[in-house]
Amino acid sequence: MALRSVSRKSLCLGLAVGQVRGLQSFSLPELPYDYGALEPVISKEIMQLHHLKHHQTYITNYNKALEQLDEALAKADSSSIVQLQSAIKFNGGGHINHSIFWKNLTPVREGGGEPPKASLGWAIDTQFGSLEVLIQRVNAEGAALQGSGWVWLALDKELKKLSIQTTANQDPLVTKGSALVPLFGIDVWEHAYYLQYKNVKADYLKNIWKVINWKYASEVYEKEIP
Amino acid sequence: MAFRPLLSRTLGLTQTLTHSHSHTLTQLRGLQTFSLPDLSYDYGALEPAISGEIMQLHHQKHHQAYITNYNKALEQLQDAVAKGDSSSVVKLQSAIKFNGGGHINHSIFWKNLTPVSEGGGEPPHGSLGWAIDTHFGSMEALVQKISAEGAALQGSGWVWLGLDKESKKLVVDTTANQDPLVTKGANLVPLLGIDVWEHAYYLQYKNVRPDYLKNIWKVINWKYASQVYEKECP
Repeated sequence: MALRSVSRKSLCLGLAVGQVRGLQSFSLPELPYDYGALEPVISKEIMQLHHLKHHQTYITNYNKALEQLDEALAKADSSSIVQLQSAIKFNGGGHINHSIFWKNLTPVREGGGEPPKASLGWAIDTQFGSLEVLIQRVNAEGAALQGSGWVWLALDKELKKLSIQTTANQDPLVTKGSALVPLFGIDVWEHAYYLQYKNVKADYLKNIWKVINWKYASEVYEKEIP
Repeated sequence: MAFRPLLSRTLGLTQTLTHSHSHTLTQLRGLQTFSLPDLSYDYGALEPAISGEIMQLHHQKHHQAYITNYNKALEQLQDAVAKGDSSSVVKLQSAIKFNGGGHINHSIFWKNLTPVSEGGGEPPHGSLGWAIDTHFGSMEALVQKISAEGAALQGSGWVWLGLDKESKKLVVDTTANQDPLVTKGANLVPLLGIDVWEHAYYLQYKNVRPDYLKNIWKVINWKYASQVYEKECP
């Protein structure tokens, strides 16, 4: 998805080795629902700020860092190339994670909260005992997370096993294991809930299940385990 | 203020009598419990720089929770040490670091702030003012550097003005989550810390952390920072 180069002729004509021309700019994906559609679970105000401000800022800073990377590559400036990785990881991770998050949520009338059936439902029951146990574990991990981060339901696509993982800050799930595929993630940064739930992160975690899009999680699961 | 010990002497006596008969392991008896220090100003006294709502939640909910969990972890540590259960002793370090750090950091933070009517925002004079000009060029340069570091911090954490008490040099540094400044260098003494966790500003400033950082200087208690500095560099 990320980097599409221009034609080889243009590259040969002008540019130094290692340059990334025709660099794609990332842009804010649209939500498939209105900002107020997840109420009362997640307020419209939070959804709006979270999407238009937080996610947009990650994208803006990600694009900027990639542009700076482009220049650093052109100059073969390894010091800058390496220095930029922190901004790329943080902002690129923020873009990846939030893009997944919007798809992990859906209004109640669109099936939000409806438990997974079929193969994912069966896998959850087999590996965790029940959906209730899974939910309780995800909530516990999310509540216990120190600082900012995410809690994930992950599928190890090689072992074909589900697991619950957390990542710090905007680290994508793949940083916990290259075979891990996110079925869903829950943002536990304070900006994800504070305006509505204040310090009571546990209430946010308790309520978010009402709008979790299990249909999407099942699609991802069935793609890896057909 | 913060740390009032329990009746440790009473506890110590009782335990000595019991222990001479049975246990050989070192026990942490008379364990002190920590409690929430009072603010030296009203919740609304830092307005409009920091809202009364934020100050109340920050103090009574966030700081209190760190203290509650810190006390709990120390109690569990006590039990684990008593049983010689090293696995638990080591596992508890994360909760102790996080919650103990939260208690340390916030206890400092409340002293770093003061209402305008009490001198909030008044630049430091004396030796700290001179040290700032020497190390950073000017107060403005220091403020700009701290604000930039605070804005750039990824995730949750703190931005500090610290004093290296060995080299007598001022430093600007950041710590992640609730790590105290000392985790960045054993000789570092915090003169001033600014909480950049989202809970410190979000209700008022939303996602615009730079505005919070711009405004907080109006209520920074430089008198306290100077006192700490002069204690280390008399």
